[in-house]
Amino acid sequence: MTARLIIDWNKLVNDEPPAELVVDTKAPPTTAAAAGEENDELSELTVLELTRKINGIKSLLSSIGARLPDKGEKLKARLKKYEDEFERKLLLHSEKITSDKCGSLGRHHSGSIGAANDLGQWSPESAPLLQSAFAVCVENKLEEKARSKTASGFQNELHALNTCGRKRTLTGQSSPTRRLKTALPSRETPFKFPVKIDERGFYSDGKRRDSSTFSPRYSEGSFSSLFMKKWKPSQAHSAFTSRHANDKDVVLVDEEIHDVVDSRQQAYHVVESTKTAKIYYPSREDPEAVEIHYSDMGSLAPEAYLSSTIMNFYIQYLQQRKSPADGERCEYHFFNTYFYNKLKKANFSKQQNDKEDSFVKLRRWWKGVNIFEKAYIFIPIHEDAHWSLIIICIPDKEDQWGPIILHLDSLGLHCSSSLFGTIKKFLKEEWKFLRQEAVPGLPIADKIWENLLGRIDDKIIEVPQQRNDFDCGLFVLFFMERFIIEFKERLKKEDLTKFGSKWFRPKEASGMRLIIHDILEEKFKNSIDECHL
Amino acid sequence: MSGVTQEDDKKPADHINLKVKSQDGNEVFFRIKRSTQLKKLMNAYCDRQSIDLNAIAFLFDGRRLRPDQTPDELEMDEGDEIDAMLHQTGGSLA
Repeated sequence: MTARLIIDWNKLVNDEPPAELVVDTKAPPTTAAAAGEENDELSELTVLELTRKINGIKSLLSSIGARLPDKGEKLKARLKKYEDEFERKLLLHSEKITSDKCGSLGRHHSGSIGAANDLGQWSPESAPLLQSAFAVCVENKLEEKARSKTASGFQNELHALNTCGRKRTLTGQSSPTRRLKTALPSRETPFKFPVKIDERGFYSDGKRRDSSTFSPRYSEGSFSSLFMKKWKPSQAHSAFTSRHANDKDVVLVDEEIHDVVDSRQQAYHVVESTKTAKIYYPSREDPEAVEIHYSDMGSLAPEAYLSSTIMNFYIQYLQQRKSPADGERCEYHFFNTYFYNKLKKANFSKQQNDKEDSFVKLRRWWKGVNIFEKAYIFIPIHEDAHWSLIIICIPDKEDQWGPIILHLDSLGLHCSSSLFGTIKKFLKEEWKFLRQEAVPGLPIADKIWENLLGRIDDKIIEVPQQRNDFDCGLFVLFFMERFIIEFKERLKKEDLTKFGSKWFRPKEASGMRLIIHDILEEKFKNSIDECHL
Repeated sequence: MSGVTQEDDKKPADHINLKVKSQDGNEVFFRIKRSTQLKKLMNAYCDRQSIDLNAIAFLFDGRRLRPDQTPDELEMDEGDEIDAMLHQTGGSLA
């Protein structure tokens, strides 16, 4: 009756994620074991790591693929595997979104769930609650506590997942998207032991010992992310399934629930103070630092429009990732999302003198950077609540052509010709300015440089189109990322044929939502950890 | 930094005039101590314009201002311009 389970949350939560579907050793042997190893390894990867791997293989394929003895077949097979897993993860995510959306109060097998109707308003009556369901609740609550929602969504989800989980167990079908483990990893045992709790003891105790191991220093962000990482919906069904499979092993870990609530309440206070948590990326001291408030993550919520803060963060992230690692000076220049509007205004000043003056002022936006030395200049465009992208490609010395302005728009909404007009004015002004100064060592051929004004070309690039009305910001970021990966060197004229509506799958761009969210979540967690060291 | 040590008899060199310009071209002028944190200016601007501080990014030469920075730190000059840019969001309102 009084067995107490001491749960070291730090340990539990920081450990690797448990297997998402656990096959009890008593269960009939399935074909699963064979499918095991590699898929297991895949399942451990986050969406972010997966994308990196996919991109890595793609660039490997494009560079040396044809020269391999098997023409890159092996690589392709591997790529397929990664992509399948990526899609599975996205699907999982969208399922989650869908179930989150189910509005009304739900039913649960074990009775009512008055659980978590609001943070900090936990009623002890709702204690006999399946712990996995609870974890999902916590995750969702902490993440979206603004919405006053009941637990129904999660129940639906649980229910759905459970059905499907059981079906799978029955058929024993082995698919590449399935992950199975034949043994119960030891780290899972605390969740599985039948534990009964003396509630009175717990309360009269006064000290909530167990919660002390869960460090209250975690903010809303890290707290929810920890749960999110560890409690993917599929896990909920694993615990759930095992419950049905073997009633003796069923755990209603009441203490754990109180425990979590308790730490959650503590966390709640921290949350109050960290609601305003903000980070600077890449660092507080960096002149180009982007300031991100935790609330900015809201624009990464499903179907939300991407905000300039998030856009500028990821632009900075791409920049950081590229320049130091390559060892050379950065070949690209990224303008932030505000630049284009500023540029448009500056260029349209009426008086001649004023115009020059305002251009000199505007030049401080790219202080110390010679635009014409770069291979590419990225300019995000924001107009009419839509994002698109301009890339200026500067030719090599050997090239017999001038700069090319590319416009990439995932909806074809922005007026390319007016964008080209503004960008051309910008290049001309800069060219005029630099000619006064006689900057040496330009990468552009002299002949072209002298007549630059007549040599600027423009092109509307056909790109994959978004299939919804909220992902355009993600497309812009993905355009940049893919562009950098695929056109490492200066763009050649023949490269222009490599785009098109099949350049990548729209899903890949939409997947950026999760990826950026994960990156930011990690940054917030790290910054909070640092604060408390 | 250097601004404070400047020897200027007529004007007190520890003050500076700054201009905050909104996207629609609206300009508001501020006089602020070189050593005062720009937080004060930001708050004053938002109060005046009745906007939420979190709805705007203040940019100086295209770089986002931190509320705790001072004109000194940023080596701002007399008459310099700060952009008050509304945060942008984009999906595709067709």
